[in-house]
Amino acid sequence: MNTRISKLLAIATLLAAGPAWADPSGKIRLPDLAALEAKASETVEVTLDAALLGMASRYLDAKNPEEAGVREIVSGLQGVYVRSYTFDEPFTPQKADVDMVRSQLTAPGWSRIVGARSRKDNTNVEVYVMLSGQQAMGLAVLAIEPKEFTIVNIVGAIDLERLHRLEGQLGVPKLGIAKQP
Amino acid sequence: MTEQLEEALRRSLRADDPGELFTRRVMQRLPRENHAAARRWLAWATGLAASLLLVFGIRQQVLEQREQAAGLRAKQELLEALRVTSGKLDLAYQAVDKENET
Repeated sequence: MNTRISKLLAIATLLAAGPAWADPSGKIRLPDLAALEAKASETVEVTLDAALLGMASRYLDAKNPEEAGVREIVSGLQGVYVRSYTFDEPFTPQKADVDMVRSQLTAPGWSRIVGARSRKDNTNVEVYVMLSGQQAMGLAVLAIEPKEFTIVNIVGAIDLERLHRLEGQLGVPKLGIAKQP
Repeated sequence: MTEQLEEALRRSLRADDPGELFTRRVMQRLPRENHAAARRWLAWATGLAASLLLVFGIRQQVLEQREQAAGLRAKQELLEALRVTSGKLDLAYQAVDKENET
């Protein structure tokens, strides 16, 4: 009887720990990828919290249309986190690292808007958005390419209309985002 | 004998008026010394204040330079992050477009 109760308690604890990973702010926990940095030929690691974003936006030139557009987008953000590794040889990321990211993005609030897998190119790109009503409060991108592994997490009110206006600038592609009514 | 000695002592030790000229010279010298001390003190205080201002100014400049460097670094990181993000979003939309074409 006691064993049953302790098993039930253990299961309840595990179930309670699951949703705790899902941060309602749109922030996800990134895996420790220090081992990849040593193997990668090129690394982009960006960790910008609200304070650093504020500092960065002060140095964005309001007279430069591209930077002014970025400034508008950044004004609603709470954090920008990027981990991107490029390798000289074909590389497969640790399943545990990928699963850790994916498990957080299956939490309530997150929706997968793009899941593109190409067996031919051996590429897998997933784009997730955390919605709060009509407002996107978080964006996550998981891209696994033969020689590249990238995780992006943008936290905060992402204004799709402003993002729409930035399309084509700074290398931001045309996303075809329709204006919110 | 004793009385004569006492009288002589009294005469030699009595307060004598130094004269108008001596008094004037003493009185003129007194403020001059005070002025010199005040000037010395003022010079020290001015030097100290100038040094403090210089230290404060240099410190402010160093802090501003550090803040500017951190701000510019954060800006570069932000632009780099947006470039990476846009690149991956582009990849996703290209894949979607390919799927739609087939």
